[in-house]
Amino acid sequence: MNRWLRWSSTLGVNLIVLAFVMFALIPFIQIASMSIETPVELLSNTFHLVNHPTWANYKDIFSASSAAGAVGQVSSFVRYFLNSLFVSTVSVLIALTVAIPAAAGLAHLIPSLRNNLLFTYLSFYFSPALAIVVPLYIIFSHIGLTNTYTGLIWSYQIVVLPFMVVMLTGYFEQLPKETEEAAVIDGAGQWTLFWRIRIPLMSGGIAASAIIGFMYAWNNLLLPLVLGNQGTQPVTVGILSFISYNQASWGPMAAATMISAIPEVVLTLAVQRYLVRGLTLGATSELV
Amino acid sequence: MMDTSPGMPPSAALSKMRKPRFKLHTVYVWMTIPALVILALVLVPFLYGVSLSLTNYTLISPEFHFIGLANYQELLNGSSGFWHALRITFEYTFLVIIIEMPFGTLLALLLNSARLWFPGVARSLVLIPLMIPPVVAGLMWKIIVSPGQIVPEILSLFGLGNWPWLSGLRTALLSVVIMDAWVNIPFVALIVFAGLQGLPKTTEEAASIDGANALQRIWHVTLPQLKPFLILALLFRLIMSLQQFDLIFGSTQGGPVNATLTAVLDAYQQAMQFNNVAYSMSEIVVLWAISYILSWIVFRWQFAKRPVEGTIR
Repeated sequence: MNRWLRWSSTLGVNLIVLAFVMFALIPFIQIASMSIETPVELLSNTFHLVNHPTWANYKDIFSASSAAGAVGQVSSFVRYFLNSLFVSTVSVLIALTVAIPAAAGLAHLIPSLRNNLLFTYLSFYFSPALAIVVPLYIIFSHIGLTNTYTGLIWSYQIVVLPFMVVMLTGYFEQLPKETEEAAVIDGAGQWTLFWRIRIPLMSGGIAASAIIGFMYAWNNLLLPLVLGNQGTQPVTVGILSFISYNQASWGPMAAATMISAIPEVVLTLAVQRYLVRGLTLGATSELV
Repeated sequence: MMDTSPGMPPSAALSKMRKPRFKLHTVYVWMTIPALVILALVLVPFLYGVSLSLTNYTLISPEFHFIGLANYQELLNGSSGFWHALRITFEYTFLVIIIEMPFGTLLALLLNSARLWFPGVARSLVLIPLMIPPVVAGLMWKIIVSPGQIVPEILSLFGLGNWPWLSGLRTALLSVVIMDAWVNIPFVALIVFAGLQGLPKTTEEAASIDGANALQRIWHVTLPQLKPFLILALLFRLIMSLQQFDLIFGSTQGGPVNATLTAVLDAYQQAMQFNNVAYSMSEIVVLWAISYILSWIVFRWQFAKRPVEGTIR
């Protein structure tokens, strides 16, 4: 191939990728810029990069006298953020506690049963979340679980648990059999095998499924929208309350948007190579 | 048929060692019980919801009774908004798939290209939209496409500054599809990219030696081998866009004048705003059936034909 053609195709590949990158980043450029603008700049009604950067918007959403209101002693944004953190973390911990043994069990069951179970799990994905949320709302209001953390964490299991079981089952199946056999020959019991061999070997997989499960929980909107109230709702719902503001209040909203997006971006970049499996409920390891 | 006499070969010793596993089989069944219990706690509401769709339950009145399929009849006769919502849902899903599949595949091929200058950086950056909550994505886009903001300003360079985006009756749906594409082109790309990484280099080299150019190699060699991954991406995009809620709720909430009111949005409004829980549940059951049938067709098409074999790492 001649040199000119090679160079121009290299340039073409990089330019198109650059276009994709710009497309991915455009919203962040404007929102990040807005989050450090003053109300006067925001009102000018045309996009421009910030002239007089200020942290005022960030201070606002974190102070109890925030324009967005407050719950008790803390600003409502802080409350939403802590709710997200608490509900997502506890949901993931509960899901891990039941999903690890379940996955270990499933990995040892006969394949046909396992694949049926896999499809059953996947079929949870086929059902719209509303099919579960609305009845849960009715049941919860009878037993007093609406607007409680318990109710939210219970409902979050539908988001976190099936995916975690499938993903972890894939990891258990991939564990090298030789190590286990060696351990059994050395006299290790099933319990030792489980705790000393299998769990350490798949700590990476467990961490990845925990983080991706956390992402699913954190991103969820519908469950807390229906089942929570201002005291228990996470940022995904809380951020919607900023929407009705006039344009001068877009600053705090932009700041809130940045803060609610950042933890996840950081966490998920850390487990990037596990993302495919997580986002497809483990299906890439099971089906393809 | 196992020889357990002393002096047996090592392989037989191993298979004897493995024997306790079968005794422990019940233990493995028991280990799955807690997870099944929790799933049952989630399944019960689903069945309860399906049964509610056969009643005239509303959130306001405590009195309700069995009315058979009356809700479904109401849905399917022309006077309900459900047909409109279904049409919007299918248009949305169709547009999402015909935009996201080719662009996602293109992005994956480019990210896999040896000619890319900063592959690590590029891969991380294009994935970022996938990591933020979809409702936040909807909210961000709602702001940046409003008049005078960054997107119309950029488009005005091409004379498209007046495209009405979310406020136009005809443009709102396409605008939401573009937002969905922003979030999920990386999703498709990620799955296809995983497929590309697992492909053997040999077939492509052979085609190259046979004189195939880059485009021919991609079309005739790479893409056919990627089929399982393309169908997997299609399956997930199909299910998720039929049920897209967060993104639309964050941006248009179904408006303007129901232009983006998909079936899920409609069912949400019926249940939580108009209190018609039973009617809403019947809408959801119909949508569930549609999603299930469509995804079963796609699932059968590729995956159920052959036994599960091997794994992709």
